[in-house]
Amino acid sequence: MGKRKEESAEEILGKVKIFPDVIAELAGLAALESYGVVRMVNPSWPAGIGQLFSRDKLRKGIKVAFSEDSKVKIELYIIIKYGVNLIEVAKNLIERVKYEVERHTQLEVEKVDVYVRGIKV
Amino acid sequence: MPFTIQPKDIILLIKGGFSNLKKHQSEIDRLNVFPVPDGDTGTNMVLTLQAILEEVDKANSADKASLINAIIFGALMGARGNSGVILSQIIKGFCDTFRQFDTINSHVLIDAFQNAVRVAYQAVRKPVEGTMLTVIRDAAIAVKNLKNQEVLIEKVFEVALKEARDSLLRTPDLLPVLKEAGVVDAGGFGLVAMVEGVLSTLKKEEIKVMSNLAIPKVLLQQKEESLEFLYCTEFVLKGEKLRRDDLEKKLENKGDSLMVVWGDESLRVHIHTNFPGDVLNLATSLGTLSQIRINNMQEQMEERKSKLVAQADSGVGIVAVANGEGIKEVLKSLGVQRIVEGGQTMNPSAQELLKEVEGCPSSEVIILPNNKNIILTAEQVKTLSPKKVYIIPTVNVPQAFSALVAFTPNRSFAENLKEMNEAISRVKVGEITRAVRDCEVNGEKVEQGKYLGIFNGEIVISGNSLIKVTSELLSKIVSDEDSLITFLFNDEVSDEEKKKIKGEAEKKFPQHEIEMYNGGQPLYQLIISVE
Repeated sequence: MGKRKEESAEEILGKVKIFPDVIAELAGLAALESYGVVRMVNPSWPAGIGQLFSRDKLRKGIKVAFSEDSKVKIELYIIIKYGVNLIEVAKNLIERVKYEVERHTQLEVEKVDVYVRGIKV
Repeated sequence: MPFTIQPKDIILLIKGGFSNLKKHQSEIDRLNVFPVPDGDTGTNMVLTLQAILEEVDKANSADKASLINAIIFGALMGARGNSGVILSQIIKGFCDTFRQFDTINSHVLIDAFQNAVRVAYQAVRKPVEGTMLTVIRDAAIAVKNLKNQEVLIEKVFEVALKEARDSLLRTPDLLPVLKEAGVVDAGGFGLVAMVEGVLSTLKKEEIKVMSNLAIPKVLLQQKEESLEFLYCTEFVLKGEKLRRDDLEKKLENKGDSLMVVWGDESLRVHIHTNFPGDVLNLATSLGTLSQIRINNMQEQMEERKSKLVAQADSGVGIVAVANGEGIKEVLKSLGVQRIVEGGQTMNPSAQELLKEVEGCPSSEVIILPNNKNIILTAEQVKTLSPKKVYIIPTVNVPQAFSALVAFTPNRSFAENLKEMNEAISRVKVGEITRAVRDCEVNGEKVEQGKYLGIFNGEIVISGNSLIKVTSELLSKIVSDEDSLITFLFNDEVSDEEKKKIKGEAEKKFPQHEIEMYNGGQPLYQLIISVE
């Protein structure tokens, strides 16, 4: 992720700064409770290998970036349970993460991208 | 009264579940607050079942395998929303078991319930309890008890329905967000509706446990009473040519509880709003900001609640002396476990105090005497009880309130005592009562029945009008550093008087928050606490 970025909730607030880590943590908590998602995976690994690792830290598998106008962009790299509707699980996850992050930070979540990197049988 | 059902009967049962679910669709939508409050749970569940039925229509229903495959495929592809995806897994679990048997008897059905739970829970890393997952699991556990008996299919569903319903009613205890919103879980409700529909179809008569579930409707009304404005926003605004009324006007429509007060060459602003950003933006256009504080009031409310719960488990007992129903209520809500009846004219005995101290389950007990004449009695309890007994020397009820608020469960006992003792020194208390006989106050004659204003235990004012005495007493107590004035009145104060007292106080101290409670205390028409 290069240089550590930080973002202020509102220009004028000044003192309120929310680090991407915090947003990642919130997104991670929401993701782990999301139905159908069984794991987060490190995005840098090749697809499939994530299945070998089980105890990931929450922040793993989540990238957070801010756009020019302080909106949040989140990427989630996940493993989904075999036999569930992938698209629906991903859609639910996007909704849940957007809702939780916005609810806790008051920042606007512009985009949540979900990358399904594997399926757990 | 079937002991077994054929696979093709499954279609009928799904249809029964579907039609009952559909009946409750909008009700379920309205209950939806978790995971995202978007009000679509009922719709999603209906659409998911609809997709299954469409798939089943296309399939050859005479062939068991293709029928089961159609159901699973329909559930997978048609799953809508979070509840739909969970439902699809539950149905898949049932079907996987049904697939293995030619006829379905109660044993198979009970196994299918267990498998449904297993499959449903497999698909989530961290299951949230108090959802439809909990409801199906509880139902499955309940039917497991029928495993060693020969029972009718419908008996299994009967047991499942009863437990599912009970489980549904417990969901608010498991998932705080439901309790806050005052609802039961929407997906769980949907599940109960489906089981009810299935059972109605089996018994060929309408079953209505849902009508007994009147609770959600009542709860729904409470939901609307939640906090209208979420953020308590405060800041100091400095600048030239600031005008208080000007700012007030600009902020008026941003929220409620607005207060704009002059400090030394700056304005102090307090507002409850949903858009703290807007408020701050507006303020920056007029000057420079400092001491910004934004609090989420919902969270504060919850914190307070959880603090109370923790306090009850913290192993410290709190006994208070009080009378007046209103006051007792407040004390209990702040964590007092036992109350000894008593006060100004009826001091409880050491034995009475001892009894309540002994009655506390904990080995450390704090006593709040709430009267100067009772402090000594309380001290005696120290030597009478084998427990560790501490006295916080509160001489009135408002001090007890402050002491209780200062109590933090996960702090050490010693620290708590220190904080509580400090807290009682911060609160100023005034009392108003009537003279019981003619007397002389500060060289002036006071006739029986006149109102007396008491501050720090001294009579400082007297007069015929409750409103006037209150107003003058307030002038002696309240300073600019205070922010909160609380009135505890008793039944002798008329509604008219209450209104006037509140109005006067608001006029006189516009920058202070004023609260009024019915304390129900004897003797004192008013107890006034100022912080």
